[in-house]
Amino acid sequence: MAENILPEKGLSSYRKVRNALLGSLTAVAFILAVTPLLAIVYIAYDRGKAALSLSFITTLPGGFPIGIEGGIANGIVGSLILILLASLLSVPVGIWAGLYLWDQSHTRMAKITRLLSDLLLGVPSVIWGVVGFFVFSTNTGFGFHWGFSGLAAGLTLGFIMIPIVTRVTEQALRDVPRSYIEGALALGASRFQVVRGLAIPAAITGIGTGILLGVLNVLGQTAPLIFTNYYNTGIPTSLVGSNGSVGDLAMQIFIYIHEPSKALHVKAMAAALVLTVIVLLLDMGIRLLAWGSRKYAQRMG
Amino acid sequence: MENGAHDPLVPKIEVKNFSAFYGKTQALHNVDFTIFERKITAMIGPSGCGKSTFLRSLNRMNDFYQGFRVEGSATLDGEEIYSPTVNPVLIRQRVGMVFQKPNPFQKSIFENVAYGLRIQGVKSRSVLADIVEKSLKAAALWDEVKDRLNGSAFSLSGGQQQRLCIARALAVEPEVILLDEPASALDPISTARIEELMQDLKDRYTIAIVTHNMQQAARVSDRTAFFLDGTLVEVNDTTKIFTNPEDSRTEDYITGRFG
Amino acid sequence: MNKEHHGAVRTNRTALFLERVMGVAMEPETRAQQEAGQILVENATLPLSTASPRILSTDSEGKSRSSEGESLHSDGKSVLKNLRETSQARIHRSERLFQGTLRVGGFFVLALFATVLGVSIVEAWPSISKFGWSFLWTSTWNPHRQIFGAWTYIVGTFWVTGIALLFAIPIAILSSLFLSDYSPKWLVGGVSTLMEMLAGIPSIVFGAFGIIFMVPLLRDHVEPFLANTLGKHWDFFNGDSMGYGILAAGLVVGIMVIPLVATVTRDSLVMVPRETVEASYALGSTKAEMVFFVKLPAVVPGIIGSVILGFGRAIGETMAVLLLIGNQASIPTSIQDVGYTISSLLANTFTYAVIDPLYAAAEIELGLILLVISLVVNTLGRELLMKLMGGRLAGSVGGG
Repeated sequence: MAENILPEKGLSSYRKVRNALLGSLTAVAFILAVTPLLAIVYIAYDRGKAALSLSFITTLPGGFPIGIEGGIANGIVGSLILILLASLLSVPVGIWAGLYLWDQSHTRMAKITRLLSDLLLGVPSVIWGVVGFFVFSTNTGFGFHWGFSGLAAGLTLGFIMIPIVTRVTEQALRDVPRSYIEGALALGASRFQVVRGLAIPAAITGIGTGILLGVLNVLGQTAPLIFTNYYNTGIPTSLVGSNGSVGDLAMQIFIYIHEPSKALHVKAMAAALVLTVIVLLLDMGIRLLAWGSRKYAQRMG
Repeated sequence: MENGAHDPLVPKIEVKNFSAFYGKTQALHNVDFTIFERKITAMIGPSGCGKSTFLRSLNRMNDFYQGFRVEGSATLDGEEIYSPTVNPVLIRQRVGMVFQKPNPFQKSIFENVAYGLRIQGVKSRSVLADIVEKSLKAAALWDEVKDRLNGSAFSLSGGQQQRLCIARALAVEPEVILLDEPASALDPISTARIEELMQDLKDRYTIAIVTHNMQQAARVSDRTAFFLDGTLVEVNDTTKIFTNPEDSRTEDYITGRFG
Repeated sequence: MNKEHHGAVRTNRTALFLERVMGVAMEPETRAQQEAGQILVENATLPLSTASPRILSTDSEGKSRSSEGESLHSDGKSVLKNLRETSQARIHRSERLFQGTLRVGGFFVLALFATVLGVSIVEAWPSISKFGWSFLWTSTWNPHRQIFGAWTYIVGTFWVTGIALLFAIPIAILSSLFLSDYSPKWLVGGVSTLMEMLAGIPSIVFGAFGIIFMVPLLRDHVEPFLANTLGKHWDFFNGDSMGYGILAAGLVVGIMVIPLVATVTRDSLVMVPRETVEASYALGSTKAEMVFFVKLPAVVPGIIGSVILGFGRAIGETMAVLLLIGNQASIPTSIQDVGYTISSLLANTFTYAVIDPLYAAAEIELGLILLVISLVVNTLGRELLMKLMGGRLAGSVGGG
């Protein structure tokens, strides 16, 4: 009976071709998606390799225009200073806020806080620059009046990290099995004791992952630095005031690539490669940590 | 209702006209119930009948659920458990709990048992060692673990882990122990050991156990309460409940007509 | 027994007694403990009862556990009980203090949000009050005449975002289909991870890549080709073929957005129930028919969510755009034109603008527009995906 209704059994050639075409289309799209990303790493290497050497990362820029000789030690030192400052602000505050969201998660205040924290994740980096400028750098009106300085930039990056650390800390604490927490509560532990002695230790890899994720997110941030720090070709002697600016890898790339000098472009690509490698290694570290904490969670059942 | 016992019955926990709510859902309806000192009281009933809610209400473990509240009275030695002046932490120190699934901490066997003491400020290593040993002995686990006290609690089998959790609860010397289906995740041999253990412990502790296993209730308990749809249908001597229940719904349940 | 132990129980009369006994019998430690414990237990009822009405209530029944001497751990129990009585008030207060202290952590986040919004609104206020709503749709931007309108930059922003999404969305969706259904299994995990990792490369590196590679490619090949083919019929594709401009910026931002859209789309594809797939096959679908006509429609909400998030990421993108768009305040009429986006204008000129209050305020008002769009878009995308996936979504930060 079916033979009478359906004109033919099996596949029409139209359907066969369409099947093959659509399948190939996805493969082409996939190649189009991955190639540029790989090309970025390759081109950074290819165009920057002439400048790459050990001294590139250990010497300060020199020559004229500045940077034509020497390396990126100022940028590396400056980036480290900025990350340290950002972490000093965001790690305690973020963990603190994450603990609050976890502990009092059902309260209305916590719900509002969680929403606003998530909203902060979506604030464009240029806005952070404006905020950092008015809070830390400007010399008029309210604010700290620190000028363009490492401290201003570091704390602005810290602002960016706070919602990240908060969110991941809360999630890591949520991943601690409820039975684990209840076991301690049923023994008469106070919530402070549970948090300090059990919840934080159990969530520590997750929290560490969150901190590294935050660092990863602020490591290449350039826009906020334009508003709060700009750049320094040397090693800073101060972190506030008119001499307070620090070097920074991302700013260094920005300034070098902006110059109409092929030699500086080579330096820029070499610096871009260094920054990319650092970011990728950090990313890999985060993934290993996350993988480790999943294993840990499995063992705890 | 409180008849048929040979020892004098001393009320430990008295619950009067007790209702519990999760948000707008009422989980318990006007329960009147007494748990007597140094008796094993079993709570049976089909899933979702409120027996676990009731058990967790007794040491305020439900406080952590959003929108949980109670009405009526529940007293421990005459002291109102839900009085605003009572610190729930102190209630839980006196009313310990063992959960359905073994939940040891990611610590050594020793530190698991010592945890409750440490959080209460006991620091002396020798005191801790002493209590840990006694607690593990009381939980019939000492011989199996005495050579590896510093090993991870997760190296133990499920049944051993559950006995470790019992030892952990005993170490803080509670007056009442609540067991929330403590054997449901265990094999029959481990279950038998837990049941034996309960008989040993009953001389010193007041025990309340939630179980969905009626044979278990019949084997281990002195008194049995039957819950249905958030109400306490019947509570009586275990032998009475299982041989001659007063309520037809109880009879239907224990004869397997539903649940 | 050590010092801390003493300290903890010192206030109690029994404890004082214990301490005295301990002082005498300190020598063999274990024996001292036992003795101390026994003595304590034997004498426990009376002194403790004065200190503790709770224990009295049970003891008055004459059924005190301790008096039976078979307690689980005689001395330890007493230690605990003493601690409990003396520490009741303390635990209470510290618990309250703990909760209050945690609240301060949440307060920091609230304060940070208030700062971001407050600074933007307060500093933009001169411009908001002077130009009102017309700021949004006028396009004069003249610091000398103190007249400012946002239209040029809003249009530029949407041009770049539009090109980026037009380029990224088809590629991202098709490649996520490739990964979910076509690629060999061994490739999936590695490639997905690689894609996510490469998405983390800072935008300044993308921008530098654009200048070194994309601009020459567009200038020498793509744009002349466009001008000679489509450009002959539509001015929209014609132009000076400079390489810099909205096309370069849009394409590079598109490359940056692809991994985000692809990852989120793949996450929703994974959640299509196996039964749905099998039902489609059982009706005689080819693989492509299953993938494109059954699976893809099933994840449309997820795709919308991923596109919204991609939009949020693209619209705030700063550095790559700043380097590639040409930074000229004109409304693009062709895909080869240069332009300006809100974020690239701020990054490029804010430090000059800041000496002129109205100029600065106008730039910050632009920033406020960007902020509001970003917040709305990110909230929408998140809410949608949260509903779909039941909660977990990694944090993604806008721009760089």
